Amino acid sequence: MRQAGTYSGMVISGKTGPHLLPLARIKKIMKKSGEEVKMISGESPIVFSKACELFIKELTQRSWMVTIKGKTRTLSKEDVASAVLATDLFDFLLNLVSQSAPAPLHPKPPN
Amino acid sequence: MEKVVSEAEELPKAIVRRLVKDKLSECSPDYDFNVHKDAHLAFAESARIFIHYLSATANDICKESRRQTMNAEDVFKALEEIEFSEFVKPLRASLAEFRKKNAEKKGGAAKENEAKRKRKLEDSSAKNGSKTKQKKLDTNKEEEQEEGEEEEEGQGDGEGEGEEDNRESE
Repeated sequence: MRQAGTYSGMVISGKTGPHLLPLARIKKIMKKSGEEVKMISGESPIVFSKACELFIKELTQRSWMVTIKGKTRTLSKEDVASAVLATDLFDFLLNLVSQSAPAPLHPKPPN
Repeated sequence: MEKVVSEAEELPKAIVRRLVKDKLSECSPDYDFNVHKDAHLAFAESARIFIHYLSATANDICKESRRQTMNAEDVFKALEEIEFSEFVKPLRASLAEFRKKNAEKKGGAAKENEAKRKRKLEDSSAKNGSKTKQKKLDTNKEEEQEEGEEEEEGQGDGEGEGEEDNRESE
């Protein structure tokens, strides 16, 4: 939390500053992604942290684009779901949104 | 949304919230947008799944190269594979900056450590010398100079010797 406070200025200015997301947490999530993920180099979580930031920003932007079509100023989870459905890039999230969206337009991707 | 995930495995909500807010103010500098609580959860959960997805892909790439440890290059290749190649350039730049800062820190820290070690050696050799002299003094003059002993121990290098001279003359 303190990290966010310290570095938020750098994020707003658009500089590629130090990581915001806690590396230890990211490592935990990575290790949970599969039993086989055991050894991770010191730099990998840093790349993940930044990748995650970029991902969240991308998803935010696309969700916002749905929100403004609806002429409201509140971004809802349905907007996020619509953005996921509308973007091929976010197909890996279809499982997540299929529960919140009324009816998925795309079939679930095969595993 | 299925949530069998403990908090320790989630990304910090405050940071996710901040990232979303920052992006929204970029998208819409004139108007403030609100974000529903459920939407924040959706963002956090999506990011977590993204990490899983990217990890698994990077891990596969690592294994194909017959290595045990996943490295940054594996992650870059994985991003290309999952069609997030537009992320690769800014991430490389970010990593390069981090490496640079790290190298500077290490360089600076190494110099500091060396200087500290030198100082310690100098201090300890000087103290050892004065301590042995003070101990001899203490054993000789325990009864008379209890207060004096305390003062001696508290003092630094050269003064002990000076006092010894004085006492001897007395």
